[in-house]
Amino acid sequence: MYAARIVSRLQEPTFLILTALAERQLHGYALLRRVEELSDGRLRLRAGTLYAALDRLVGEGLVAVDGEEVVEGRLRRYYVLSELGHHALALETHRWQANVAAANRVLATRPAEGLARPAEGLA
Amino acid sequence: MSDELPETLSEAVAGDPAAETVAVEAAVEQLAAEPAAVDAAALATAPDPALERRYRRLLALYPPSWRSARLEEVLTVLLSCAEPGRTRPGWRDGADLVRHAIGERVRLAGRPVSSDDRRCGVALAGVIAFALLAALSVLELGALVPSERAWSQYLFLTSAGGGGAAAMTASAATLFAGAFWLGRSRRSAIVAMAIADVCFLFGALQLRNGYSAVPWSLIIGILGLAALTTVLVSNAGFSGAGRAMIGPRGALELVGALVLFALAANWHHIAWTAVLFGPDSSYNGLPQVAAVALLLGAVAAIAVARRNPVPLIAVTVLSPLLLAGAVAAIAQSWLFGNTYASVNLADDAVWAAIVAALLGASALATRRRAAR
Repeated sequence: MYAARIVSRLQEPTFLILTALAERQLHGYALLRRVEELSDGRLRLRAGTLYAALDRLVGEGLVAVDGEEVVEGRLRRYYVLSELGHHALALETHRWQANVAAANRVLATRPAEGLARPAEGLA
Repeated sequence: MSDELPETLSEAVAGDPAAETVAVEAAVEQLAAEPAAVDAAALATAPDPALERRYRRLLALYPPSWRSARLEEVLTVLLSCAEPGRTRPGWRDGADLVRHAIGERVRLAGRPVSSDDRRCGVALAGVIAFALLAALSVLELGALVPSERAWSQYLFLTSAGGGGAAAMTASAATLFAGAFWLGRSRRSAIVAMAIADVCFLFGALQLRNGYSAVPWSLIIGILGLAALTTVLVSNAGFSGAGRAMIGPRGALELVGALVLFALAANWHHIAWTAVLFGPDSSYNGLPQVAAVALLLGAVAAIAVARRNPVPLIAVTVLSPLLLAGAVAAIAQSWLFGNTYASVNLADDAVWAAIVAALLGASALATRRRAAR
């Protein structure tokens, strides 16, 4: 139930962060790049936004810190999806699949009407 | 290949959609096969020291607790994202950091205060009020020094000034009593309260004898400043809870903030003492040079000091006292009038409103705390 409650307010950046972390553990910069790729370059998160989201996700238990390292004097912290995070992502994906299926059904049953109206308006 | 990955992607996005898909797929494959490639790409060129310094300055907007946990990590990401040759943060990155820094501070400000912080804050509230009242007494004496006439009129404990000093001491002692009580030092609280009672009694006698210039509005103003400063300095959104409370640097900043606040509230702050002696007194005030020096000193103090943590709950102690003072000031002016200084009802109303707002804020804070 907790996961379902959280899922109800997942937004696109959060959704893609969870998706990226579902693949494997990532550090901040790699996570930014992966989210950009997953959205076909449409969503370019900035560091402030990313870490605000990560702080919240870690606080909610959807994401966990999975070690850190220092590379060339720079600190890197790795993040990984928790069990709860997997569950939340699956629920959200299922919800969107259902939404998309419903939209497809409606579009398939009323294609002519949906396209005719703008044409009438133009005429 | 890995060095050029971001550029390749952005070019592809800008151009042919089919190429974009290919590029994305290639990047995905590469990422899957070689997770360290992006890391190496990000740090291949050393970042500009000026850029790092500017990013650090922006990140300083975040609260200390966040900085100690996140700063180095976020800096790594910011520098990794910066294209080669960049020496200043982009305005979008800057705006993003500022927005989230404010958000983080607002979020922290809503958090409950720990009992240790509460105790520290209550104690500090007493210290602030006492320091201010003591400073005012010094100013009062300082204003008297240059004037023979003022000295001849100033008979300590038998004049209006004596009544004012008694009222100030009483207020400070009351604050200390409250601080000691909440700090669980009950014996000290009782002693402080006894001192406050004696002083209040003396002040009342002065009033009864016709010396009605007890500067209530002045006292209320000072206590109000102390309360506001305590809230601003102590709130978790402005500082890191749990750190050492009053170090030399913290105290410097506190004093600096108080002086600046006082100067902002009333540039002719030195003339406050005129309330004690009336407009026709021989009080001359301190030269403007001194006021400017005070201002510069305050700015310097804030610049060198670091923030220190004190809790919101200090207001809970101060507000009822301030409210009582405001009510007393209004009652005094209505019932007795004034011989030396005319108590300005409008001023009192302003202070009463401020006090009421503080009281409301502290009541909300207390209720929120209880609800958690």
